[in-house]
Amino acid sequence: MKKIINKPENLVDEMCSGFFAAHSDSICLDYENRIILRKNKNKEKVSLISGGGSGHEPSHSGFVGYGMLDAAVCGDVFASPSIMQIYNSIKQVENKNGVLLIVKNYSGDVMNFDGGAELAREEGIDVETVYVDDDVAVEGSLYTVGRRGVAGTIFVHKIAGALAEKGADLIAIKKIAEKTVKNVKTIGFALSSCTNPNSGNPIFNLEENQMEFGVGIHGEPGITREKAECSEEMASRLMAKINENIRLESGDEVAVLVNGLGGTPLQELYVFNNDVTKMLNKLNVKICKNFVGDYMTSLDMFGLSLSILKLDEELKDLLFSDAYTPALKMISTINY
Amino acid sequence: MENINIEDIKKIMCIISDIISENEKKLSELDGVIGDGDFGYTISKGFKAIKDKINKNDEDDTSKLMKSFGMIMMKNCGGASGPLWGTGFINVSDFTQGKEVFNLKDISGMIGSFIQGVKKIGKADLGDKTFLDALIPAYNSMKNDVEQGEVNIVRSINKASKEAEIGAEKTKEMVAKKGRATYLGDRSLGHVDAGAYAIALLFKEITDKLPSEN
Repeated sequence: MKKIINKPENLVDEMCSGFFAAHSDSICLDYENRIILRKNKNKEKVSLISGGGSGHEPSHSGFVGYGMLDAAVCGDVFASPSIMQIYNSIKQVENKNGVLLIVKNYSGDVMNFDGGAELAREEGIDVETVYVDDDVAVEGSLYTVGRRGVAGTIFVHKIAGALAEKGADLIAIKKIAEKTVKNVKTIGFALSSCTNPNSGNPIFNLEENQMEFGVGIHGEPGITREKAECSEEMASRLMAKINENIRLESGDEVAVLVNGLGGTPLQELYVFNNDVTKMLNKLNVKICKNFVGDYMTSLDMFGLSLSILKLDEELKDLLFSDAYTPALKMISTINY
Repeated sequence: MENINIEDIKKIMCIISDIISENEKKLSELDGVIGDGDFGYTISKGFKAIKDKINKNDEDDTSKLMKSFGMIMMKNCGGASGPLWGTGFINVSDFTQGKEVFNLKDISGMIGSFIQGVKKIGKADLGDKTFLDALIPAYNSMKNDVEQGEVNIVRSINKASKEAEIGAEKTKEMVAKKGRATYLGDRSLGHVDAGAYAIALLFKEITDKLPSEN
């Protein structure tokens, strides 16, 4: 294993410190609990918290800031943060307006976030939870009940965060978050495995010309292992799988997220984005925005995921609202 | 051996902690075959903290000690391990309240209450390809021994150890049974559940390290 790290057991702490050093203009760090917090707290709004295992950077700490999250809790590599970490994050952001937890649907994450929420509720804090399950690859796995939560989670951060910034109440924000979950579908594939720094070995092995279709963000198996095809063919296959679940029609409006899994050249993500764009144009589906880059990674995995979010006027308005976070900045007042 | 006390429990927990640490990589690798490979590292981190707590030697009440183990797991372990083992220990804490000496019936009761805690939070049961598939058969074996009038702890754990091993082995076939092969593919078949393997390993090593029955 070759990695730019020191000791594997210090990796997450050192990453958090380095992240703080890079973004201390807008975020704070609770080093002890590995919580990234928004620096300028807005106490007049509902607080949003997300988090999960590390290794998915910039998720979720990169999305802490104006118009998105108030806190992100970092677990060990590919392991959900603990109940106490989550409870502490709730305590740090709570105000009279309540707290919404945005949780990717994995058994570990669900148990820990539910446990942390329960401890906070016992103290009278108003906590609601939204579970994201956008991955259409599998119906369930050894690590989930139901579908997995992957890159589509970014849209939930963005849209729920925008509504919270506008001052809506907890129930309204939970509702819009659930609507976003319902409207976003994702599927990915990998050309190589990721290497977990704790074990030092690739999680799975692929032959030179093979790909894992429907791979999860922790190197969990997908649907099939087969021959790797060109970008255009892959775009068509991913789109077909998404379309089975979302039924795109002529005149629909969508946002597209072409997400790198950590080891994919940006160049190739743009090639793939070009293929997806052509395909949607052909279907007469209007793309309101393409997001291309590393949003929800899987350590050093070579591969990508495609997310399609079906929009209506409400979602579109919130998607285009201002956001200022380390990993996503959308500022409407700048005429660019 | 017919009775144990808090000092024996501390010793056993230290043995468990060492076994988990020694097998950290192996457990992660097993988990990595069909999952994300975090299990060994996560659980090992928790048990190292448990050993630290024991070495501090600041607790002489079994129930309080078990509660502290539960809190340690919930603080130090994320993943699925923290909530499962944490809730398990907290249930054992309730069960051991007011008790100082533990016979085979008490020990089997402790394991039973641990299982109840895990079932409650994990919503899993026998046959779901989790560590319960090794732990429940072991528990049933001990419970059965108690009903048959057995009092020898080592002998009963030894027997339970074999049931745990059979149970862990059975998890290899469980993917197909649950119909999960349809989306995980044949590649997931034949692989043992990492948690069940860990339980079987713990029972086996504890049996080896306990003083022999004679």
